[in-house]
Amino acid sequence: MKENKVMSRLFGYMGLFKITMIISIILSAVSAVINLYAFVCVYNVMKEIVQSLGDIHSLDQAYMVNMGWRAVYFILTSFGMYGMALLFSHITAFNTVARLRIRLVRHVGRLPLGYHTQNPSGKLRKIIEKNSDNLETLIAHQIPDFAGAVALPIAFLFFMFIYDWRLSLICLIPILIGFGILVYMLKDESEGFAKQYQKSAEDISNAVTEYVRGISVVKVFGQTANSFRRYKAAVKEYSDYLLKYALSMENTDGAYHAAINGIFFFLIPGGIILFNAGGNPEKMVLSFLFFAVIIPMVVTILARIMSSSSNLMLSKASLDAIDRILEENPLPEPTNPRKPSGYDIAFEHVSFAYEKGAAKALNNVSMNIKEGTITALVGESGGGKSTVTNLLARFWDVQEGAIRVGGVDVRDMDYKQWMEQVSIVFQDTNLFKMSIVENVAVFNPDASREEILHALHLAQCDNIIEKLPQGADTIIGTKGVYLSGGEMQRIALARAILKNTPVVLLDEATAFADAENEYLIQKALDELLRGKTVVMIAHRLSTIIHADQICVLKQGSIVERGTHRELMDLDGVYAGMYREYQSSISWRIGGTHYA
Amino acid sequence: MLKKIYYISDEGNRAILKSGLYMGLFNIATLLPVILLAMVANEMVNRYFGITQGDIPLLGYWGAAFVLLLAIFFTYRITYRNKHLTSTSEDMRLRMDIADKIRKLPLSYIGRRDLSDLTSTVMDDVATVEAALATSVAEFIGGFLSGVSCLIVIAFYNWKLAGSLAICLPLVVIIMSLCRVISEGTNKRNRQKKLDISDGLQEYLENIKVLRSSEKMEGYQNRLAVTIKRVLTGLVLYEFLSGSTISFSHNIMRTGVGLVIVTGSTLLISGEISVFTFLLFLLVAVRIYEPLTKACESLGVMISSLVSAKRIRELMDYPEQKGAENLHPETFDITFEHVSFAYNEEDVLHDISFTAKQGQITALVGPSGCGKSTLCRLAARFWDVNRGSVSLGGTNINDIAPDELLKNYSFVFQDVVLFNDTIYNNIKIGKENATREEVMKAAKLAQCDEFIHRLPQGYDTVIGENGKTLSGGERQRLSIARAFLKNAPVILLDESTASIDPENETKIQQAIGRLIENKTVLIIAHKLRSIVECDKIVVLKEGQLLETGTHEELMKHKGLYHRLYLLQNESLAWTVKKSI
Repeated sequence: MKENKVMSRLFGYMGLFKITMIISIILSAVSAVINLYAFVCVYNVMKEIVQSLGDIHSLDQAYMVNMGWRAVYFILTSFGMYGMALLFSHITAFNTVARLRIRLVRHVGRLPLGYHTQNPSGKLRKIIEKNSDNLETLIAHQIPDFAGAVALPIAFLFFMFIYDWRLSLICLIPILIGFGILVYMLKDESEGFAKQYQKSAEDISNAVTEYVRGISVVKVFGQTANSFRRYKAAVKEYSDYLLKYALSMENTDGAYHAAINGIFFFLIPGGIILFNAGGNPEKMVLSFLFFAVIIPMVVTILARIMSSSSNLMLSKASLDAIDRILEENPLPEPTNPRKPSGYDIAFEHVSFAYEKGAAKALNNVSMNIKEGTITALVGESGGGKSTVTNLLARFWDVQEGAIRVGGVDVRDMDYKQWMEQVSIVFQDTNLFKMSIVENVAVFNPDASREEILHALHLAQCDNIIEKLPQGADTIIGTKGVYLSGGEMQRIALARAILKNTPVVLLDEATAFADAENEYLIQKALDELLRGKTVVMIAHRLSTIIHADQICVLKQGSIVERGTHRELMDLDGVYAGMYREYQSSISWRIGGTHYA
Repeated sequence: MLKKIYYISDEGNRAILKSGLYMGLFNIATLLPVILLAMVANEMVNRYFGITQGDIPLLGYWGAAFVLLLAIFFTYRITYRNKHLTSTSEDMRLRMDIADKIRKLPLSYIGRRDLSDLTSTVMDDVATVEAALATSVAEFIGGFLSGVSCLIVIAFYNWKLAGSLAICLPLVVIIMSLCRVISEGTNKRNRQKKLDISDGLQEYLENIKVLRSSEKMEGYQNRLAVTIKRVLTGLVLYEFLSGSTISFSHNIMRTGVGLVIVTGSTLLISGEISVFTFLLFLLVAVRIYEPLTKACESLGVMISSLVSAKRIRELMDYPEQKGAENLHPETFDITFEHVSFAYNEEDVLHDISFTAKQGQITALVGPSGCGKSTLCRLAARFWDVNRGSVSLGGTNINDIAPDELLKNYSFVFQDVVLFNDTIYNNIKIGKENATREEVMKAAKLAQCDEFIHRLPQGYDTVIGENGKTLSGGERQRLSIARAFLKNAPVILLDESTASIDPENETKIQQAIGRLIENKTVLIIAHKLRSIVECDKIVVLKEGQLLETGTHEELMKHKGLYHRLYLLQNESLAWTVKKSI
């Protein structure tokens, strides 16, 4: 059964808190049974009355008062235990969720960085946060309630057979009918409905996103009606589906509630027929009264199971999303890591596709990069430039061929050690909510303050520090302290300068920085790149005319390779790109330069 | 009251109240068999003691039971039907109203609130509210009505016994409201701690590339683990305070069962009540609390749904921008007069005055954060200025309805929004009644023609969510095609859009060049060399207007523009140094 699988997976995530969960289950079950005793007290009172009906004054009033207080006592004890059960279940729930979150945090930290490139932080955060919240309700409420619900019928069964067994069986009929309907509904639900519902919900979520995202366009172009129509259609479809489904369940659901509330409909004729048939009338009266008293409990519990069954399905979806993350394979670590003897980089027949079956982002690429030289990657977007740097940084591992550094396959190196040899300077710069000093020292925890300040100076960050209230100790992201994109890039460059690795991977993209930042970033780059083995993605071809080697990538292959001079002489793809570039930089808005 | 809290329609309000009424009827229908059971028991007792003779009439009782069973089924069914009809129609109406409202909000609001935040407002909050409406409100009303009315009815029968059943109810109300007060503080603290977790996770995931290659990974994870665990005590405490108080109050309520026994037995012996009455009350006692418990639980759900309802209300109550619906300006000059603007307290723009003339190109220049983009957005009334005025052809734009105003504007910014639709329809957004020829002509002018023909279905290719199958440059050119189609007299342009796709830069440049001919053009410029031929250059720094003039004038002036221009020329000559 699917539900069982959910449960066993959940229990797996609980760890030691299985114990508190079990305590909670036991408490909840015991509480249910004790609660039953309160009903028995009511019954005992009835019994006392019936037995002393011949002489009303023989009624043992003390006994009845005693039973009354006992009922109160049982009810309160039952509450106490249920409260405790909930407390324990919540302790389990909160801790399990916390454990799960921590486990997810540690797990995603070991995944290849490519995974994070493909799964944006917002999405992962939502899975880690929201889906575990779902499980919280399941563990905290539904499991103990379920335990109570299971315990009661068992106890109930036991009581039943003390009294008239025929009447017990008659009372069981509607309960069994109810269960039958429940099973039927759940089966129906879990198959068609859940899928369709999920799809419908996804559609509407996409429609909302598109609508909200498009609102600015819609406003600007005065096209409200049209886009609103699309949104409306999605909402309507969702509503219609929900309603249609709900109404299709109208009779079944009604029958379920009629069945569990309808025990009296079986008890009354059963009681009358059996009574009329003769036998022990006293026992018959008492049995009848007993069941009449106990019915409401059954109803409460069966109604509760019904309402929690839909949540179980939601929880399963949450668990699946979480498990999908946990099933991602971390980057394999070599058993005997090797150290490179130098920093010559070689791509040997490297092929790679981002997804199985997708077009190859790199196809049989081979090239050599000499230690201490600058290699520029150029070519149209989608040509494979960033795949080269991504593979070098081991965001992913190659699928065919090998990348060797100093003769050693990067996969045979200790990941961390390799990362200590590489600086990655890409466009997307994020800084921690820490002081600038701490941010710069993130790779070099042992760096002295002087070294850090020197790196900041070399990265042209002096004017950033000057304008901040606490200088280099200002914490980034606190109120009023925001840095522009260009400024963040310079801080990131200071980081890389301090790290001072032999290999630098660089995405040259300062296009959107303002004039001043661009100039300063370039000066910082001069400091960073000095004497390093550099692989850079270049957009503005003017920056790489002095590069030692330019590789032109097209559709995953290197189509040309050489120095600027050589490639210009070749008069091929690169030369064409260069001419195009030349004309683009001479563009004047409002001028008459366009053809 | 419901209407105000949950933003439902009059109709919905009535329907929900009706649901509650039906729910009450259903509850009563489930209570009525008690009378039947007590009567049958009474018959048995009478025969057992020989008070009555003969068989108990089976058909009469069974027939009555059948009627009650039908009553249960049908009251449930009508409750169910009504509940779902109401909740789905209200759900739909609410989603529509919210969408409609979002449409009317100033663009600044949409820009300021994260997309996912806004989406989740629509989705999650509506779902929460809808769930509360669908079940909880009806259950609360129904439970309360049926519970109380039953108590009143049996109070006529015997007020002492009814009193002992009800005596604990006020206590329950007091406990529940007390627990709200006590637990609210913990709840607030927990929310803060949960936000900390959220922020921590986000920072961690954003910086994971850096962390992976540094020594900090483990330390960071450990710190995050501490943050995650920090909320635990508070959560357990809150649960203890609120959760257990609720179940405590439920059980306090149920102690009435015992009190009825105690009172009843005394009354029975004193002969004040009959055996039948006592049995009846005992049977009622074990049932009457069920609807009341449900009402309490539903009240809890309703209260917690208030957070969502409040968020929806905030959105719905956000002031809309208003203004004249008709605008026929004679010129399309945009004039800024002593404009000051602040997002929060601090001025982002301070006392800016200049005019962007029709048929001219006006470029905005300055270091990032100087207020260029803000100025552009103010020109289109994304926000309203704090002081001074912006006018279009002499009319203060604050007096023009945003939709009307925007008819005159086209934007070519970096954030292109495309719909999951065909290329054709995406361009056609520019002009609703455009012919196919017009659309294709616009596409040609925007240099889209060539890449569109490479697509499998040409103009009828569906481009995926937000056009994810296209490159940045292609997306940009589509947005320019839209602008061609719209042919608005005012164009606001971010120059950097041209270099969004370095490989196709010249194509975009050509398209932009054509687009802006003879329009009022306001450009946010980054590459100073590209604006040397502009009619007017406005130089900004930290929200102040420093200098205006043509390129030549500003170069002579030797101010900030002069310095930036020289700097940029130096950048342009930068190359990586050859290795030694």
